[in-house]
Amino acid sequence: MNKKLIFASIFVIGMLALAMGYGTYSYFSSTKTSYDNTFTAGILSMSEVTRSFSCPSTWAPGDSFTATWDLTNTGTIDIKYLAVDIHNYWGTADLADVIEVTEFKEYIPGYGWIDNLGTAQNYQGSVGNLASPLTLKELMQSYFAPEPANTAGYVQDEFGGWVRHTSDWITGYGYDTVPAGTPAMKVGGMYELLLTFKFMTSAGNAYQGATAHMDITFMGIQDISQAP
Amino acid sequence: MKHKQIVISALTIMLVLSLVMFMANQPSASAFTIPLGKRIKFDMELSPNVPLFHPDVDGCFYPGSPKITKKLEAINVGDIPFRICRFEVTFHGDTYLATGLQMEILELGKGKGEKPHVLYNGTLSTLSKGVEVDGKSAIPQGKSATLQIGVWMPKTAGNEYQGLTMTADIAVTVHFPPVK
Repeated sequence: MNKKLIFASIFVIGMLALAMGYGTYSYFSSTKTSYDNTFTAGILSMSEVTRSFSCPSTWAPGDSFTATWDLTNTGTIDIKYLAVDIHNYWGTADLADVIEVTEFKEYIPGYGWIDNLGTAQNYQGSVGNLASPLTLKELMQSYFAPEPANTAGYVQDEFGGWVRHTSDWITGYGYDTVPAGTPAMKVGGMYELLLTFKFMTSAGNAYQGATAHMDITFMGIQDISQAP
Repeated sequence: MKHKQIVISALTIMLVLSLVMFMANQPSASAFTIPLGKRIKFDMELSPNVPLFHPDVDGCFYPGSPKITKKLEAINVGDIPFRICRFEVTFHGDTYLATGLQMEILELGKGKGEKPHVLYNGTLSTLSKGVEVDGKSAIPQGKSATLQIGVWMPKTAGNEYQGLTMTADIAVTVHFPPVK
Protein backbone atom coordinates (compact mmCIF):
# COMPACT_ATOMS: atom_id res chain seq x y z
CA MET A 1 0.00 0.00 0.00
CA ASN A 2 2.80 2.30 1.02
CA LYS A 3 4.74 1.44 -2.11
CA LYS A 4 1.73 2.30 -4.18
CA LEU A 5 1.47 5.62 -2.45
CA ILE A 6 5.16 6.32 -3.01
CA PHE A 7 4.92 5.50 -6.73
CA ALA A 8 1.83 7.67 -7.05
CA SER A 9 3.63 10.53 -5.33
CA ILE A 10 6.65 10.11 -7.57
CA PHE A 11 4.45 10.17 -10.66
CA VAL A 12 2.59 13.30 -9.58
CA ILE A 13 5.78 15.09 -8.57
CA GLY A 14 7.45 14.05 -11.79
CA MET A 15 4.61 15.50 -13.85
CA LEU A 16 4.70 18.72 -11.82
CA ALA A 17 8.45 19.02 -12.26
CA LEU A 18 8.08 18.46 -16.00
CA ALA A 19 5.46 21.16 -16.21
CA MET A 20 7.62 23.54 -14.20
CA GLY A 21 10.62 22.79 -16.34
CA TYR A 22 8.69 23.28 -19.57
CA GLY A 23 7.27 26.53 -18.28
CA THR A 24 10.65 27.93 -17.47
CA TYR A 25 12.13 26.94 -20.86
CA SER A 26 12.15 29.89 -23.21
CA TYR A 27 13.90 31.52 -26.14
CA PHE A 28 15.62 34.84 -26.25
CA SER A 29 13.70 36.82 -28.80
CA SER A 30 13.69 40.26 -30.33
CA THR A 31 10.94 41.88 -32.37
CA LYS A 32 11.32 44.95 -34.53
CA THR A 33 8.73 46.60 -36.74
CA SER A 34 8.78 48.29 -40.11
CA TYR A 35 6.07 50.92 -39.66
CA ASP A 36 3.65 52.75 -41.93
CA ASN A 37 3.90 50.75 -45.12
CA THR A 38 1.11 52.08 -47.29
CA PHE A 39 -0.80 50.06 -49.86
CA THR A 40 -3.36 51.64 -52.16
CA ALA A 41 -5.59 49.98 -54.70
CA GLY A 42 -6.14 52.03 -57.81
CA ILE A 43 -9.45 53.28 -59.12
CA LEU A 44 -10.44 52.20 -62.58
CA SER A 45 -13.06 54.59 -63.80
CA MET A 46 -14.21 56.08 -67.05
CA SER A 47 -16.41 59.04 -67.78
CA GLU A 48 -19.76 58.52 -69.43
CA VAL A 49 -19.46 57.97 -73.16
CA THR A 50 -20.03 61.09 -75.20
CA ARG A 51 -21.66 60.18 -78.46
CA SER A 52 -21.46 62.66 -81.28
CA PHE A 53 -23.43 61.88 -84.40
CA SER A 54 -26.85 61.61 -85.83
CA CYS A 55 -27.94 59.60 -88.79
CA PRO A 56 -29.34 61.89 -91.50
CA SER A 57 -33.05 61.39 -91.99
CA THR A 58 -32.47 61.45 -95.73
CA TRP A 59 -29.71 58.87 -95.64
CA ALA A 60 -29.66 57.07 -98.97
CA PRO A 61 -27.39 54.61 -100.79
CA GLY A 62 -24.01 56.23 -101.43
CA ASP A 63 -24.31 58.66 -98.48
CA SER A 64 -21.89 58.64 -95.53
CA PHE A 65 -21.72 60.11 -92.05
CA THR A 66 -19.13 59.99 -89.30
CA ALA A 67 -19.82 59.04 -85.72
CA THR A 68 -17.54 59.50 -82.71
CA TRP A 69 -17.57 58.24 -79.15
CA ASP A 70 -15.35 59.84 -76.50
CA LEU A 71 -14.54 58.63 -73.06
CA THR A 72 -11.97 59.72 -70.48
CA ASN A 73 -10.01 57.76 -67.93
CA THR A 74 -11.09 59.43 -64.68
CA GLY A 75 -9.45 56.82 -62.43
CA THR A 76 -6.05 56.65 -60.80
CA ILE A 77 -4.54 53.86 -62.89
CA ASP A 78 -3.97 53.34 -66.59
CA ILE A 79 -6.53 51.27 -68.43
CA LYS A 80 -4.43 48.72 -70.23
CA TYR A 81 -7.08 47.33 -72.52
CA LEU A 82 -10.42 48.57 -73.72
CA ALA A 83 -12.78 45.76 -74.62
CA VAL A 84 -15.47 47.02 -76.99
CA ASP A 85 -18.64 45.15 -77.78
CA ILE A 86 -21.36 46.20 -80.22
CA HIS A 87 -24.41 44.22 -79.26
CA ASN A 88 -28.16 44.22 -78.81
CA TYR A 89 -28.60 44.64 -82.55
CA TRP A 90 -32.14 44.88 -83.77
CA GLY A 91 -34.06 46.69 -86.46
CA THR A 92 -35.58 45.98 -89.82
CA ALA A 93 -34.29 44.46 -93.04
CA ASP A 94 -30.88 43.64 -91.50
CA LEU A 95 -29.74 47.15 -92.39
CA ALA A 96 -26.28 46.70 -90.81
CA ASP A 97 -25.46 44.24 -93.58
CA VAL A 98 -25.51 47.02 -96.20
CA ILE A 99 -23.72 49.66 -94.15
CA GLU A 100 -20.04 49.80 -94.97
CA VAL A 101 -17.55 50.97 -92.37
CA THR A 102 -15.20 53.13 -94.41
CA GLU A 103 -13.29 54.58 -91.46
CA PHE A 104 -12.46 52.77 -88.25
CA LYS A 105 -10.03 54.80 -86.18
CA GLU A 106 -9.17 55.03 -82.51
CA TYR A 107 -7.38 57.83 -80.72
CA ILE A 108 -5.04 56.43 -78.08
CA PRO A 109 -4.14 59.15 -75.58
CA GLY A 110 -0.39 59.57 -75.44
CA TYR A 111 0.08 57.79 -78.75
CA GLY A 112 -2.22 59.16 -81.42
CA TRP A 113 -4.58 57.79 -84.01
CA ILE A 114 -4.73 54.16 -85.05
CA ASP A 115 -6.20 53.49 -88.47
CA ASN A 116 -7.63 50.02 -88.13
CA LEU A 117 -8.46 49.77 -91.83
CA GLY A 118 -5.00 50.95 -92.88
CA THR A 119 -2.35 48.70 -94.33
CA ALA A 120 -0.63 48.02 -91.02
CA GLN A 121 -3.74 47.03 -89.12
CA ASN A 122 -5.82 45.58 -91.98
CA TYR A 123 -8.66 44.80 -89.63
CA GLN A 124 -11.02 43.98 -92.49
CA GLY A 125 -8.65 41.19 -93.55
CA SER A 126 -8.98 39.48 -90.20
CA VAL A 127 -12.70 39.40 -89.56
CA GLY A 128 -15.98 38.45 -91.23
CA ASN A 129 -15.34 37.28 -94.80
CA LEU A 130 -11.71 38.39 -94.41
CA ALA A 131 -12.03 40.95 -97.21
CA SER A 132 -13.18 44.49 -97.96
CA PRO A 133 -15.61 46.04 -97.62
CA LEU A 134 -16.05 45.80 -93.85
CA THR A 135 -19.74 46.00 -93.05
CA LEU A 136 -21.24 47.22 -89.82
CA LYS A 137 -22.59 43.74 -89.27
CA GLU A 138 -19.13 42.24 -89.64
CA LEU A 139 -17.83 44.77 -87.14
CA MET A 140 -20.57 43.79 -84.70
CA GLN A 141 -19.82 40.11 -85.01
CA SER A 142 -16.14 40.55 -85.56
CA TYR A 143 -13.99 37.71 -84.58
CA PHE A 144 -10.52 36.93 -85.75
CA ALA A 145 -10.50 33.96 -88.13
CA PRO A 146 -13.58 32.17 -86.78
CA GLU A 147 -12.82 28.83 -85.23
CA PRO A 148 -14.66 25.52 -85.71
CA ALA A 149 -17.51 24.83 -83.30
CA ASN A 150 -16.60 23.71 -79.79
CA THR A 151 -12.94 24.65 -80.13
CA ALA A 152 -11.37 24.38 -76.69
CA GLY A 153 -11.11 27.74 -74.95
CA TYR A 154 -13.58 29.41 -77.29
CA VAL A 155 -17.16 30.55 -76.66
CA GLN A 156 -20.10 31.17 -78.92
CA ASP A 157 -20.95 34.81 -79.51
CA GLU A 158 -24.40 36.30 -80.11
CA PHE A 159 -24.14 35.59 -83.85
CA GLY A 160 -23.13 31.95 -83.43
CA GLY A 161 -19.42 32.35 -84.18
CA TRP A 162 -16.87 30.62 -81.99
CA VAL A 163 -14.60 33.23 -80.51
CA ARG A 164 -11.98 33.58 -77.84
CA HIS A 165 -13.72 36.71 -76.54
CA THR A 166 -17.22 37.98 -77.15
CA SER A 167 -15.79 41.49 -77.23
CA ASP A 168 -15.68 42.67 -80.84
CA TRP A 169 -12.24 44.11 -80.41
CA ILE A 170 -9.84 44.78 -77.57
CA THR A 171 -7.94 48.00 -77.92
CA GLY A 172 -4.37 47.64 -76.72
CA TYR A 173 -4.26 43.96 -77.54
CA GLY A 174 -2.87 42.76 -80.81
CA TYR A 175 -2.29 46.13 -82.38
CA ASP A 176 1.00 45.97 -84.15
CA THR A 177 1.28 49.70 -84.72
CA VAL A 178 1.19 50.58 -81.03
CA PRO A 179 4.33 49.85 -78.96
CA ALA A 180 3.85 47.00 -76.52
CA GLY A 181 2.89 48.17 -73.05
CA THR A 182 1.14 51.34 -74.22
CA PRO A 183 -2.11 51.54 -72.27
CA ALA A 184 -5.34 51.98 -74.19
CA MET A 185 -6.24 54.88 -71.90
CA LYS A 186 -3.66 56.40 -69.63
CA VAL A 187 -4.80 58.25 -66.53
CA GLY A 188 -6.64 61.41 -67.52
CA GLY A 189 -6.45 60.56 -71.19
CA MET A 190 -9.37 60.77 -73.59
CA TYR A 191 -10.00 57.91 -75.98
CA GLU A 192 -12.01 58.43 -79.12
CA LEU A 193 -13.61 55.93 -81.45
CA LEU A 194 -14.36 57.21 -84.93
CA LEU A 195 -16.46 55.26 -87.40
CA THR A 196 -17.65 56.45 -90.78
CA PHE A 197 -20.66 54.65 -92.16
CA LYS A 198 -21.58 54.50 -95.81
CA PHE A 199 -24.93 53.29 -97.09
CA MET A 200 -23.76 50.82 -99.71
CA THR A 201 -24.82 51.63 -103.23
CA SER A 202 -25.72 48.00 -103.76
CA ALA A 203 -28.58 48.33 -101.25
CA GLY A 204 -31.93 48.01 -102.97
CA ASN A 205 -35.44 49.20 -102.24
CA ALA A 206 -35.81 46.55 -99.56
CA TYR A 207 -33.87 48.82 -97.24
CA GLN A 208 -36.03 51.91 -97.67
CA GLY A 209 -37.16 53.14 -94.26
CA ALA A 210 -35.20 50.40 -92.50
CA THR A 211 -33.70 50.99 -89.07
CA ALA A 212 -30.82 49.48 -87.14
CA HIS A 213 -30.31 49.76 -83.41
CA MET A 214 -27.29 48.67 -81.43
CA ASP A 215 -25.53 49.34 -78.14
CA ILE A 216 -21.82 49.82 -77.73
CA THR A 217 -20.20 48.82 -74.46
CA PHE A 218 -16.69 49.98 -73.55
CA MET A 219 -15.06 48.02 -70.76
CA GLY A 220 -11.74 49.08 -69.27
CA ILE A 221 -9.69 46.13 -68.04
CA GLN A 222 -6.19 45.46 -66.76
CA ASP A 223 -5.71 41.93 -68.01
CA ILE A 224 -6.84 40.13 -71.14
CA SER A 225 -8.30 37.32 -69.06
CA GLN A 226 -10.87 39.82 -67.77
CA ALA A 227 -12.19 40.55 -71.26
CA PRO A 228 -15.65 39.17 -71.98
CA MET B 1 7.13 7.79 10.48
CA LYS B 2 6.00 6.32 7.20
CA HIS B 3 4.53 9.64 6.12
CA LYS B 4 7.81 11.35 6.93
CA GLN B 5 9.63 8.83 4.73
CA ILE B 6 7.23 9.46 1.88
CA VAL B 7 7.58 13.22 2.15
CA ILE B 8 11.39 13.02 2.22
CA SER B 9 11.38 10.70 -0.81
CA ALA B 10 9.08 12.99 -2.70
CA LEU B 11 11.16 16.07 -1.93
CA THR B 12 14.33 14.30 -3.00
CA ILE B 13 12.79 13.18 -6.26
CA MET B 14 11.45 16.68 -6.93
CA LEU B 15 14.85 18.21 -6.26
CA VAL B 16 16.60 15.77 -8.58
CA LEU B 17 14.04 16.24 -11.35
CA SER B 18 14.21 20.01 -11.10
CA LEU B 19 17.97 19.91 -11.39
CA VAL B 20 17.73 17.61 -14.40
CA MET B 21 15.22 19.90 -16.13
CA PHE B 22 17.31 22.98 -15.36
CA MET B 23 20.42 21.37 -16.79
CA ALA B 24 18.56 20.10 -19.84
CA ASN B 25 17.35 23.59 -20.68
CA GLN B 26 20.80 25.06 -20.88
CA PRO B 27 22.53 25.27 -24.24
CA SER B 28 25.58 23.11 -24.58
CA ALA B 29 28.78 24.56 -23.25
CA SER B 30 30.21 24.98 -26.75
CA ALA B 31 27.23 26.96 -28.04
CA PHE B 32 28.44 30.26 -26.71
CA THR B 33 30.78 31.77 -24.20
CA ILE B 34 29.84 34.38 -21.70
CA PRO B 35 32.77 36.66 -21.12
CA LEU B 36 33.21 37.33 -17.46
CA GLY B 37 31.71 40.62 -16.38
CA LYS B 38 29.85 41.18 -19.68
CA ARG B 39 26.09 40.98 -20.11
CA ILE B 40 24.70 39.18 -23.11
CA LYS B 41 23.07 41.45 -25.60
CA PHE B 42 20.45 39.88 -27.82
CA ASP B 43 19.12 42.41 -30.29
CA MET B 44 18.20 42.98 -33.90
CA GLU B 45 17.64 46.05 -36.05
CA LEU B 46 15.72 46.47 -39.27
CA SER B 47 17.10 48.44 -42.16
CA PRO B 48 15.98 50.61 -43.80
CA ASN B 49 14.22 52.20 -40.88
CA VAL B 50 11.67 53.89 -43.12
CA PRO B 51 8.41 52.64 -44.69
CA LEU B 52 9.16 50.18 -47.48
CA PHE B 53 5.96 50.59 -49.46
CA HIS B 54 4.28 53.80 -50.53
CA PRO B 55 1.97 54.49 -53.47
CA ASP B 56 3.92 57.63 -54.41
CA VAL B 57 6.84 55.37 -55.23
CA ASP B 58 5.17 52.08 -56.09
CA GLY B 59 1.96 53.25 -57.72
CA CYS B 60 -1.42 51.72 -57.02
CA PHE B 61 -2.28 48.06 -56.97
CA TYR B 62 -4.78 46.65 -59.44
CA PRO B 63 -5.75 43.13 -60.51
CA GLY B 64 -2.75 41.62 -62.23
CA SER B 65 -0.47 44.51 -61.31
CA PRO B 66 3.25 43.70 -61.23
CA LYS B 67 4.71 42.44 -57.98
CA ILE B 68 6.31 45.24 -55.95
CA THR B 69 9.40 43.94 -54.17
CA LYS B 70 11.41 45.57 -51.41
CA LYS B 71 14.38 44.44 -49.39
CA LEU B 72 14.59 44.54 -45.62
CA GLU B 73 17.72 43.70 -43.65
CA ALA B 74 17.46 42.11 -40.22
CA ILE B 75 20.83 43.02 -38.68
CA ASN B 76 22.26 41.18 -35.72
CA VAL B 77 23.41 43.94 -33.35
CA GLY B 78 23.71 41.57 -30.42
CA ASP B 79 26.38 39.17 -29.22
CA ILE B 80 24.77 35.86 -30.08
CA PRO B 81 23.33 34.47 -33.30
CA PHE B 82 19.65 34.47 -34.19
CA ARG B 83 17.22 33.02 -36.67
CA ILE B 84 14.08 34.59 -38.08
CA CYS B 85 11.06 32.93 -36.54
CA ARG B 86 7.90 35.02 -36.91
CA PHE B 87 6.09 37.70 -38.88
CA GLU B 88 3.07 39.63 -37.76
CA VAL B 89 1.42 42.52 -39.54
CA THR B 90 -0.91 45.11 -38.03
CA PHE B 91 -3.22 46.95 -40.40
CA HIS B 92 -4.78 50.40 -40.21
CA GLY B 93 -7.26 52.11 -42.52
CA ASP B 94 -9.15 50.10 -45.14
CA THR B 95 -8.03 46.79 -43.68
CA TYR B 96 -10.24 44.85 -46.11
CA LEU B 97 -7.62 45.56 -48.75
CA ALA B 98 -5.37 43.05 -46.95
CA THR B 99 -7.63 40.23 -48.15
CA GLY B 100 -7.02 41.24 -51.76
CA LEU B 101 -3.25 41.45 -51.63
CA GLN B 102 -0.71 38.65 -51.68
CA MET B 103 2.62 38.78 -49.92
CA GLU B 104 5.71 36.68 -50.45
CA ILE B 105 8.63 36.90 -48.03
CA LEU B 106 11.92 35.35 -49.09
CA GLU B 107 15.13 35.05 -47.16
CA LEU B 108 17.79 35.58 -49.76
CA GLY B 109 20.84 33.38 -49.94
CA LYS B 110 24.28 34.71 -49.21
CA GLY B 111 26.10 33.24 -52.17
CA LYS B 112 25.39 33.71 -55.85
CA GLY B 113 24.07 30.22 -56.44
CA GLU B 114 22.13 29.97 -53.21
CA LYS B 115 18.41 29.82 -53.77
CA PRO B 116 16.09 32.13 -51.85
CA HIS B 117 14.19 30.46 -49.05
CA VAL B 118 10.44 31.04 -48.98
CA LEU B 119 9.40 32.09 -45.49
CA TYR B 120 5.82 33.05 -46.32
CA ASN B 121 3.58 33.09 -49.36
CA GLY B 122 -0.10 33.90 -48.93
CA THR B 123 -2.63 36.63 -48.38
CA LEU B 124 -1.52 39.68 -46.48
CA SER B 125 -4.51 39.37 -44.16
CA THR B 126 -3.32 36.01 -42.79
CA LEU B 127 -0.27 37.74 -41.33
CA SER B 128 -2.49 39.70 -38.95
CA LYS B 129 -2.63 36.63 -36.73
CA GLY B 130 1.12 36.17 -36.86
CA VAL B 131 2.87 33.39 -38.70
CA GLU B 132 5.68 31.23 -37.36
CA VAL B 133 8.43 30.64 -39.92
CA ASP B 134 11.68 28.74 -40.12
CA GLY B 135 14.48 31.12 -40.97
CA LYS B 136 17.03 29.60 -43.30
CA SER B 137 20.24 30.76 -41.69
CA ALA B 138 21.64 31.39 -38.26
CA ILE B 139 22.72 34.99 -38.45
CA PRO B 140 25.93 35.60 -36.48
CA GLN B 141 26.85 38.77 -34.64
CA GLY B 142 27.31 41.73 -36.98
CA LYS B 143 25.74 40.00 -39.99
CA SER B 144 22.28 40.35 -41.45
CA ALA B 145 19.52 38.36 -43.09
CA THR B 146 18.13 39.88 -46.27
CA LEU B 147 14.40 39.62 -46.61
CA GLN B 148 12.76 40.23 -49.95
CA ILE B 149 9.14 41.23 -49.50
CA GLY B 150 6.90 41.11 -52.56
CA VAL B 151 3.31 42.36 -52.69
CA TRP B 152 0.86 42.09 -55.56
CA MET B 153 -2.82 42.00 -56.36
CA PRO B 154 -3.93 38.82 -58.14
CA LYS B 155 -5.84 38.98 -61.41
CA THR B 156 -8.89 37.56 -59.71
CA ALA B 157 -9.32 40.51 -57.33
CA GLY B 158 -12.62 42.28 -57.91
CA ASN B 159 -13.91 45.84 -57.94
CA GLU B 160 -14.54 45.80 -54.18
CA TYR B 161 -10.91 46.75 -53.60
CA GLN B 162 -10.93 49.85 -55.80
CA GLY B 163 -9.71 52.97 -54.07
CA LEU B 164 -8.94 51.32 -50.71
CA THR B 165 -5.87 52.46 -48.77
CA MET B 166 -4.30 50.93 -45.70
CA THR B 167 -1.06 51.04 -43.80
CA ALA B 168 0.70 47.98 -42.46
CA ASP B 169 3.24 47.63 -39.67
CA ILE B 170 5.38 44.58 -40.40
CA ALA B 171 6.88 43.03 -37.29
CA VAL B 172 9.81 40.64 -37.60
CA THR B 173 10.82 38.42 -34.69
CA VAL B 174 14.10 36.57 -34.32
CA HIS B 175 15.05 34.09 -31.64
CA PHE B 176 17.90 32.35 -29.91
CA PRO B 177 18.91 29.53 -29.97
CA PRO B 178 19.43 29.68 -33.73
CA VAL B 179 19.25 25.91 -34.13
CA LYS B 180 16.03 24.71 -35.75
